[in-house]
Amino acid sequence: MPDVFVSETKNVEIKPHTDSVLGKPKNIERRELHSHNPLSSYCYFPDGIKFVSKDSNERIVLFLRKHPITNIGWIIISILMFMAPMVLDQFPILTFLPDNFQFIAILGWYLIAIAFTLESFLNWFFSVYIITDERVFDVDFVNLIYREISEANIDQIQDVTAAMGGVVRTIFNYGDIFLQTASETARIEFEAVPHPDQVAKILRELRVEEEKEKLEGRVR
Amino acid sequence: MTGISILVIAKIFALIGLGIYIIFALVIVRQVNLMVATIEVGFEFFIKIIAWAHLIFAIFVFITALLIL
Repeated sequence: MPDVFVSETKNVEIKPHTDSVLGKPKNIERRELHSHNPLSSYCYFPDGIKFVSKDSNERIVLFLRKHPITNIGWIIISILMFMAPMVLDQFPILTFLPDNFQFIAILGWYLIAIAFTLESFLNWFFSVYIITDERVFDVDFVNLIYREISEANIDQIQDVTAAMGGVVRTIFNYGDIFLQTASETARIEFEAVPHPDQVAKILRELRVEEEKEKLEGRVR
Repeated sequence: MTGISILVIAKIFALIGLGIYIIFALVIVRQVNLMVATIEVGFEFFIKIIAWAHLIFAIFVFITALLIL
């Protein structure tokens, strides 16, 4: 039986993922931000980074830490602490103690200096912010005995605010990102992250992508 | 006699302090292991070495204090 009506074949152009934020870094600026350095504070589509609750098909879009310049304070204090015994050697502060006590006091001081340096470094190193194509993670390494991990789904993000102010922040281009979410963790903060405008833009693109996925029924 | 007693008390306090410090260093090793298990960024080996070196140094200072004080 002949067909009464045959619709024209619609030439629907399906946009490949590579056009979206989920593709590989699409412009030169972002490609430059793809770093392989494990101490990098901004990495777009990082390689070899894993976290405990990552799904097998989940992709890390951004890996962030505080800007390296924020470490300058504790680095200077650490250097001063390590140099203090050499400087104080010129002043007879511990001479009332026997030599063996003086030696242990200096070793004890170095222990305290190492603890301060290690704690400050670990605080920076492990306080990371991860943005995947599905979720946002805020890992806060508050101190050596307390850490906090918050997460929110991308589609739960209601509002993104990028704040940058002050001379140092403007010179080194870093600032804070505030995410207002509908999840239990109402507010997620990315503190002192590099390129806050880029981060906000990527988050906006991810939210649009998530909306598209919902409309197209591709929700994971 | 009083001088010796004060030094003995100082030694006891120093050893207690260093003992507590060893516990603190152990906590660092444990916390680093937990964090490394939480996030892998490709720098884990170096971080673990630092944490263990710190613990070994703390034990070394404790033993040194025990022997020379």
